[in-house]
Amino acid sequence: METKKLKIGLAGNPNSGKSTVFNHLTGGHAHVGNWPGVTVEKKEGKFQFQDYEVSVVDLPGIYALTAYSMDEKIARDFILREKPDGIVVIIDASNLERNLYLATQLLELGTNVILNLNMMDIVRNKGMAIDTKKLSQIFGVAVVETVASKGEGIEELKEAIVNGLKKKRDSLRIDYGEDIEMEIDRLEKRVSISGYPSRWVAIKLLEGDREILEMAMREGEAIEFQTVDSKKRLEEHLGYDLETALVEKRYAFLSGLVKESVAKRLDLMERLDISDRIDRILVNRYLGIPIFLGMMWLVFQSVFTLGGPLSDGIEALMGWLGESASAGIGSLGGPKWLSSLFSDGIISGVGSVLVFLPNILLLFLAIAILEASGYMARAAFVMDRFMHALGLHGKSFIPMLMGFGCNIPGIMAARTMESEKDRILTILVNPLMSCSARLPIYTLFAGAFFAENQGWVVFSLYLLGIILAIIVARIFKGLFFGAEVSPLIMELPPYRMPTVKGVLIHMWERGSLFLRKAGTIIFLGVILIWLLASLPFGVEYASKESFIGQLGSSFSPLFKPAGFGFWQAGVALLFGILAKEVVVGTFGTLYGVEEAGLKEVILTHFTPLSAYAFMVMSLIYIPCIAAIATIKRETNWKWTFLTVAYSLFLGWFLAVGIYQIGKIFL
Amino acid sequence: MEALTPSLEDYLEAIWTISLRDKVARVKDIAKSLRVSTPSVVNALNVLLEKNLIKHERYGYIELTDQGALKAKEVDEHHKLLFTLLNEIFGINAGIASKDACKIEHHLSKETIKRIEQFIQFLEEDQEEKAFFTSRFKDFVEKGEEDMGDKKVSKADFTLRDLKPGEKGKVIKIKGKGNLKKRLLDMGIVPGTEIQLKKVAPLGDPVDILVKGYHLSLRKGEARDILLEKV
Repeated sequence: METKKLKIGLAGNPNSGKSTVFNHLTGGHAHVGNWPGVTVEKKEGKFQFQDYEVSVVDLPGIYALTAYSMDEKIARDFILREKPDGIVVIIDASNLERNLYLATQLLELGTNVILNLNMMDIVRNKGMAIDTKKLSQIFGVAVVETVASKGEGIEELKEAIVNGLKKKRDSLRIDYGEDIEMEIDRLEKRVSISGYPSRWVAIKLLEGDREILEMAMREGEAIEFQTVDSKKRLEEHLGYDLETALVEKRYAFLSGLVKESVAKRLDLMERLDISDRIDRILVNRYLGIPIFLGMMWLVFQSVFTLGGPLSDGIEALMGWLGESASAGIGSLGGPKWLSSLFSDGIISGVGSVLVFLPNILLLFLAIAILEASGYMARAAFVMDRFMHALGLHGKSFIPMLMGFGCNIPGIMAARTMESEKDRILTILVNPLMSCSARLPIYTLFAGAFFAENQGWVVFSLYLLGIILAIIVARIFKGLFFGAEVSPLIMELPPYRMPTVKGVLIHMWERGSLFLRKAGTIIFLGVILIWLLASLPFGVEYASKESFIGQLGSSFSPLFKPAGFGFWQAGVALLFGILAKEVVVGTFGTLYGVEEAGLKEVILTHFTPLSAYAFMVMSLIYIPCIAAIATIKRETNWKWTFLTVAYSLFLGWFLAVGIYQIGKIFL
Repeated sequence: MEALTPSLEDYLEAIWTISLRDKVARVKDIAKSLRVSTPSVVNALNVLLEKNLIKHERYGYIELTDQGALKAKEVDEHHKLLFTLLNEIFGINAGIASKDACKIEHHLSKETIKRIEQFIQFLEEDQEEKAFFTSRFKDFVEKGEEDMGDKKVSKADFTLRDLKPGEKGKVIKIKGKGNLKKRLLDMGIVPGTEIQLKKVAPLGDPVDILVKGYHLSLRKGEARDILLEKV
């Protein structure tokens, strides 16, 4: 028999268990990518049922179809433009009323819908029953109960998708009351957009939906006046605005429906009891912040303490591989450039990508656990006031903190933020958080010049980074995003036990996406620098005569006013773009000494003042290539270029400023 | 009539007040009343003379023309209205109220002046209501915004911001427009819905509310846009 194809979307509120349903439907095999042009994840998977092959697209978690946020726009565009065969709406059955709101919007649109009442175990535990037959009757669609966390009801859901979507049905008609209905009628007769039910278009027009208004005006300009006219008439009559009135009617319809179809109406206070009790401690007035800081310490420790040895292991492995490769090629009589290409180029290139992998996977694991358990929203709740004062958002705390370990997971952690502006702002200033790779530079210089106050000197650099981040965030906010603050309207979901499978899948999906996308850019960057360091033919790798040496020498005079205008410093900074800790090794190579002898050499080239200026430069100038690649992957070239440019100028100005002003006093 | 500069209006007003009190106004009286030098007064008087707003009688007495008197009376009335608003209703002390009224009076449109006049009339209609209004406003100013949980507060003044942890309210409407309002509505904060304030975050903002059976957090800034009635 020939297989028939179906394409469906999964829609639902955040925290409705959508991902779990998706994982069960597709067996956890998802293709993860991004929606075109944005960084919102797009997950696609497939399953076979009877003689059907069904491809499933996981839509972003949304509360409504208003197309105000990026997530809503994506979901709406998918439903309106890609015209899938159907949409499964995943509903947290223990919070029926608000969850059904999204479903009613889809049903009004006339989308082919299947309702999936998920988390039925919670409902049953409360001794309640939902009359699914009645729901099915009123909505005119199939209703399937599941407990996705235990895999219950998934087969029934598959069956309903394959068989239930075939039936044709009418759009849901909510009665908006005599007055509004009259105007809907009036508008309905005058407007048409091909492919959309005209009643829905009329309602959207009254609701003030800009996108639909633009589409309608393409069919006839007059519609704008008719809409404004209808709205004005109604609002005068109703005494308040239509937006409110329409949503109110929808919710009134739903609350009636819930009353009718739920036996022993769920006493929600009861359900929230355990969650409430946990919250009483976790977001307690006095304990809330200490607990939050403790949690962050735990996350930070597990990411970098557990990840550190793994990264070191990978690094050592790659070093060994590089040496054996170059020895092997040498013993086989291969040319020197070939062994260098393998050991300094390809293997160290792959290594520089892989070296981040443990940290990134652990970070994503931690984030997945925090998100799945419901604590992530509490963290934002606790920290919002503080971050808000800095011009950022409650959720930007975690990315900033991560930045101290490594900017790459920091930049990626900004994904948890809903507002695109806040997310980009958080990414832009993240490289100013002094990552652990910069520590070897501080250790070398502070140890050589400020042995007695080493701790304070290093601390001052961390502090400088934080202060600069606040200032830069403020300036960029004013410059690019306006003074407008993004509101905080965030659900605090009930606490839930994360499932091992769920968080592992989540971790791997995000981690592999990083490997694929950022990996290529990092790899190419490493190869480019290898070429520059090896050419022209016959030069010593990374010597003054190589292209990179020449480049370093040519711009080193620029750093004369900062006190380190010699070519070795220029080259070291260039290599620092590869990875900041490489600066130390480069000095070793260039001066031909081991790390132990490096202090002596440095003492002869730098003064304490120029050493401090150099440390400030290392802190601020251009993020490492992996961070640049990650910024590009998470934003676009414009923001990437801006980050590189501002950090370079800021670093230079501060280094020069410190050196010049310091000279006056010292 | 041609518009006068604020300072010329002040001169007219001064002449008007002085002549009401002393019957005639002299240059040095005007200088004293406005705290300016005699030569400046003479300068200004020459301009007013040119505009045919005053008559310069013998012995240095100054008298307003009919046109001048009309204008002066208007400025004076505006001053009194503004003074009443600032002093009696807003409760600003007389010195500041008078000084500020002088500054504002020259710049307001007829419509605004008219409305202020109507507002004052409106309050005057019911003295008891006026006393209640002004004393409550005084309380409000003194206690500061934080303590606005007063029982006498009328429905329209009561917002989600004013709830204390554990207290409940019923939504009347959401102020404002656009994105934020739409989002709040979509989340189920529609008229008639009951909201309970559960917690305030450790740093004082945002707040955690229970609405339609789930927890939602909002900043106090957003909470202020949600008008409630007590339940």
